[in-house]
Amino acid sequence: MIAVSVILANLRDRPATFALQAFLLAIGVAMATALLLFSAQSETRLARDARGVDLVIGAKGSPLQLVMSAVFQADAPTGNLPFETAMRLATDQRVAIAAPIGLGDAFGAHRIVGADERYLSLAGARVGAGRLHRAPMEAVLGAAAARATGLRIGDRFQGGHGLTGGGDIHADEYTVTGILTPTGAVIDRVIVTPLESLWSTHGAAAEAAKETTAVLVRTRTPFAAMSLQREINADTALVAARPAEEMARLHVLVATGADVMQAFAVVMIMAAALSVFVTLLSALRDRRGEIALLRAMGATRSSVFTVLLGQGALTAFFGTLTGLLAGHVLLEALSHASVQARGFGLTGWAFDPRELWIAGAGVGAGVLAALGPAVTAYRTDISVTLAEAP
Amino acid sequence: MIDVENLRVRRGGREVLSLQGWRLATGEAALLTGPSGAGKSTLLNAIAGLLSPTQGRVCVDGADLASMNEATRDRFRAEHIGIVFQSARFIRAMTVEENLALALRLARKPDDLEHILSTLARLGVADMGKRRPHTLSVGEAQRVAIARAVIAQPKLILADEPTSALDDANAGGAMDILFTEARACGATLLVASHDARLHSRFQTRLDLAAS
Repeated sequence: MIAVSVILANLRDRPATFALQAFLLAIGVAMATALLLFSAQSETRLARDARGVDLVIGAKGSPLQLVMSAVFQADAPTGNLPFETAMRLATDQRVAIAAPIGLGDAFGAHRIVGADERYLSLAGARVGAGRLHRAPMEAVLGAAAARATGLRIGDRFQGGHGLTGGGDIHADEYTVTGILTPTGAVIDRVIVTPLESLWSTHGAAAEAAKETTAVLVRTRTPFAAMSLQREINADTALVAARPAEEMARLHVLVATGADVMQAFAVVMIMAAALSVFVTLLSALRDRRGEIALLRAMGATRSSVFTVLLGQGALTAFFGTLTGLLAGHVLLEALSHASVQARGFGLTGWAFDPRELWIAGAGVGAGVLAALGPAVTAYRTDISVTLAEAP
Repeated sequence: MIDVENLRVRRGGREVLSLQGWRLATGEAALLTGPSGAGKSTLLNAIAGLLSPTQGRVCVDGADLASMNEATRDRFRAEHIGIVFQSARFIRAMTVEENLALALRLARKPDDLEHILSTLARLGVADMGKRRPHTLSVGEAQRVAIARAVIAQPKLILADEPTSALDDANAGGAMDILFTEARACGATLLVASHDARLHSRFQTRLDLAAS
C-alpha cells in the first residue's frame, strides 16, 4: 500500500520525534497498567487471604493493625492475650472455629506462625506431603515458603526473632515434618508450628505466661460475628475486628491515592496525544507540498488521509505496546524490590482483561489526535497548494 | 490526446481561464505560453484533473475527466499522466529510488529496481538513486523529477515551467530529455512556460493571452 511506504519513510526520517511521542504515551499507559494490575492483584489477594475469617480478636490496639498482622501477616501485632481467654472464646455458642495464633518469629522472609490444625482449616490448607506437626519444634511449611526456602521434610532450621528476618537467631532448631498444599492465600508463605514452640524459644517467662497473639474466628452466621464483636469491644480489654470492615476502610484510604495516580496517568496519555497532534499538524504545514505532490502523482484523497492517520495510529500503537510491557515490568520490579510486595503476591506476569481498555484508550488517543490533521490533508485543494512555492 | 471545449474556470468569483477550443494530437509536443496569470497552470491542472472546470469539457485520450469520480480520476492520472513541476517536488523522507518506486506503484506497475536504475542512467543521474532529493543540485533534481514523470510510461507528459529555475545548460539538457523521453514512450508533451529559450523548440504553440 502507498500510505504504508510513505509512513515508514516519514518515521525513518524523524525517529527521535516518533520515539519521543511514543515514549510520552508509554509513560501514561505504563502508569495506568501498573496501577490497574496492582489494585486488581492486591484486591484479589486481600479477599482471598481474608476468606473464612469473620472476626479477629487481639490485644487492645488498632483494629486495622490487628487485621493486617493476624490475617495478612503484613504488620506488627498489637500485643498478646492470655491463651486461657482465647480458649474461653472458642466455647462460645456463636463460634464455629476459633484458631489461636502466635506471631513474633520468622525464618528469612517467612513468618513462623504458632498454630494448630484449626488455623489450617480456616485457611483451607491441608498437609500435602509428610504429616502435621505434633510436638514442639516441629513445623509444616506453606507451599510457597517450601519452594522459596528449599527446605524439605526432615530438614532442620533456626527461627529468628522479629517478623522480617534479620533478628536474633534462636538456638533451638525446628524440624520440617510436612508441606502444605498450595491455596493461593497467605498461608502458602508462612511456616506453622505449635504455639508451644514459640513459648519455649522465648524463655521461661514466655513459657509460664502461655500467651497468644490473636484469635482468628469463624462464626456460625454473619450476624453472630457482629454481635460477638460488639460484646468483646464493649465488655473486655480486647479488640475484635472484622476483616471485611477493616478492608473497606483501608480501601477508602488507598482509593484517594489511586485516584490521583490514575488522573496523572490520564494527563500523561493526553499530553502524548497532544504531542502527536502538534507534530502531525506542523508536519502537515511543512508537507502540504508533499501531500499535493502525492495527489498530483495520482494518490487518492483517502490515501493521503491514511498517511496522516496511520502515522498517528502507528505512533500510538508502539507507545501503547511499550507502555503495557513497561507496566508489567514495573510491577514485577516492585515485587522484586520489596519483600512486602513479593509476600503480597504481586507479579508482573499476569494479564488483566481490563488492560484492553487501557490499550484502546492509548491507541484511541493517538488516532483521535491524528484525525484533525488527516481531515485537513483530505480536504487539501491540490491546485492551490501546487501554485505555492515548495 | 487533449481535447478542450468551451472551457471556463472561475476561482473566488474571478475568471482565471477561458479557452474556446483546443486540440493536441497524440504524440505531438506543444508549448503553452502567456504572461503570468494568463491561466497556464490552471489549464495544466484542468488537463491533469487536479481541478474541476466551472464550465466546458476536458477530454484526455478520449476520456472526459469531469465524468469520472474523483478516485477514478486519481487513478487515471497515476497511470496515464506524468507531471513535471517548476521546482522539483519530492517526498523528502524518501530516497530518489523510493520516490520513483512510489510513482510506479501509484501507476499500478511493478516497482522494478532495474527499470528505475536504467531510467536514472538514461537521464544522466545514475548515481543519485540512494541520495535524498534535497541533497541534489537544482539541475540534478529536475532530471530526477523528469525521470519520475516518465518512469510509468505515461501517455501524456505535462510540464509546468520546467526550465525557469535552470541555467542555460541545464535548461537545454532538461528539454532534450523531455523530448527524447516523450518520443521514446510515444507520449504527448505539453509544456507551459514563459521561458523565451524554449520558443524555437516547438512547432505547436498555444498563447493564452492571445486566445
